[in-house]
Amino acid sequence: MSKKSKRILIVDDVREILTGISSILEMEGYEAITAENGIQALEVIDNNIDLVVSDILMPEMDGIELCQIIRDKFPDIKMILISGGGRQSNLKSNYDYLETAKKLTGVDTLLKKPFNPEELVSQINSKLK
Amino acid sequence: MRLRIVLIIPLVLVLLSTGFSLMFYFVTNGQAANIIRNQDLLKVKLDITRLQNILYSLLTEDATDLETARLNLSVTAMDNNIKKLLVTAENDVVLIANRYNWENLSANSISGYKNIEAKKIKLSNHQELIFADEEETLLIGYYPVVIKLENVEGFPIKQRGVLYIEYSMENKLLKAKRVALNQSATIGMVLFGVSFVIGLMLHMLVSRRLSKLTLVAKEISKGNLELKSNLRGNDELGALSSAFDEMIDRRKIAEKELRHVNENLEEIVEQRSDELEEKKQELLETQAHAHHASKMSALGEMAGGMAHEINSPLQAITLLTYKLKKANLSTSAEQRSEIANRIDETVYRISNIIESLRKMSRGSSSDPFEVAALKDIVDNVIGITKERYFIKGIILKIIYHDNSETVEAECQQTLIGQIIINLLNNAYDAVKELEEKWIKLEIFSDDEKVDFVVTDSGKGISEELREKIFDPMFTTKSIDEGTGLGLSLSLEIARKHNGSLTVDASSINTRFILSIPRFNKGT
Repeated sequence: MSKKSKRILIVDDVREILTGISSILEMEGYEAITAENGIQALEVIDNNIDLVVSDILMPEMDGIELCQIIRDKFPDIKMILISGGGRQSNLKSNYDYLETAKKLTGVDTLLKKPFNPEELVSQINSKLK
Repeated sequence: MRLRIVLIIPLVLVLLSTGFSLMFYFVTNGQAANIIRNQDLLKVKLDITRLQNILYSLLTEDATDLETARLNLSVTAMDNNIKKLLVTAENDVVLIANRYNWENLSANSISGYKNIEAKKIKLSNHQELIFADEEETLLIGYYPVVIKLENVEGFPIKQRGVLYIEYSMENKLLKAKRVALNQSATIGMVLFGVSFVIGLMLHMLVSRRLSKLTLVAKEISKGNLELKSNLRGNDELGALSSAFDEMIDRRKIAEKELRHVNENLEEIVEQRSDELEEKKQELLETQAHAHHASKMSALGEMAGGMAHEINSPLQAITLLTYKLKKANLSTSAEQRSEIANRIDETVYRISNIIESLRKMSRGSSSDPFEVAALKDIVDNVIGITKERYFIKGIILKIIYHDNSETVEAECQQTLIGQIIINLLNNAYDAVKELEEKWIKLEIFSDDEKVDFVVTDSGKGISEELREKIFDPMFTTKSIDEGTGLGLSLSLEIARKHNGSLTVDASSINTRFILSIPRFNKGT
């Protein structure tokens, strides 16, 4: 029953991913809240949120900026970043890009799309133990 | 009529020599005449005085011996120049004469003799009266003689008579005249000859050579340098000639050099042309590279979107399969079938994206011109780019006017698609950071042409930039974002389609118009 109390905020601009992730997390017994971009996410976020899963590349406010704000305002909230391997023209490689994202946000878990949903579930499980 | 120095000088010389000859003649003749007159006067005086003495002894002292007197008179008169030699008595009757028929005639009847003159000499004590006639060719002399003659009674008495002489100098004067004439003629001839020789020399030395120089000079002025004056001699003309020839030689050399320079110039021009040709080739290669680079750049820009575009549906599939795997009994068959259908759809979407990408990446300037539906062109473009706009929250509207969905155009489909992608990419970069972000792709068509019009929410392009944006290498983007080749290559492709790519300056928003004819074989 303790799982039920865990609330996860999912932020992604692609709706089918948003709904896909939220439906499997609900299948795993988590409460899923969705937001389509960083701004929407900041509107709904509060201390009742235990974990945020955020895409990096999004319109309005991207995942990196969002994570930086969350890290400053809600240091207790755990975070997982997911990357679509999107536009990265001012960085040499995808690896640099992901490392930079980690450094900027302090997030240690970064999943590259398409990731195995089981991997996501196990990462969430381990973070919310 | 040209004045000829070489004629004037001999002419002057001829005139001078003629004048000199004439003067010589007159002077010589005059002097000779004077000498003759003086000599003859002396001679006549001498001869006649001698005769006078003889006559005196014969006619006065002894018995009158007329015969001996006549003989002596004849001897004296043997001189041919003595025309008349008479002795007249007191009554002017000729006593003896060098011609017998004059004897016993009245002396007055013989021309020349004047009894007045005879009387003068008879009455005076003068020993002689001798003078030249008016023409100065005759010497006329009256000498007194005393003759003892018998009077009518037969008694010898002395009476005063006259010895009359008429001496002609004409022959001598004529001879002298002839001599003078001969001499002056000779001198004149000599001087004339000298003039002729001088004239000839002038002709040979000056005139002929001058005319040769003139000829050469004329030839030079015509541009012919083959002729030379080649005058021999150490004189001034020779010097002029060699100076002339030297000038010709130098000019020849100069012309040769000039020709050489000209030829070199041709060579240089040829070389430059070759270099230009090389540069052109290089440029063409660069352009080809650039075209490729631009295509790669467009593809690269798309690749990010593409990754997202493909990764998202792939992610969706994994999420859906996870759901299927975790499906339990509470999941209905319908629900499972729906999940499976969604997976199929997603796979189909991915394959569409890949097909568009394949088509877009294939295009090259050597593609054939083929009939293509405008809708296909647009769909291929949008298939690749749609995701990017969505991510950035950019509203992309595609509007077909004039029933353009059904219209076809003869073109290099892929290249036209690339131009549109390029325009859309530019629009994307322009609006992505703006408050208001939208991009509109409109398609217009009529019987002859097709317009693809890309408008974005940007605030247009300044007049000054409008001229530059089609230059190769011009870009307003950072070095990572753009190569600057997009618009110039797009313009090139449009032109190859006999079309145009322009900025609509009248639009408030940024608005590019790609216009191509519907029927086309390219240029």
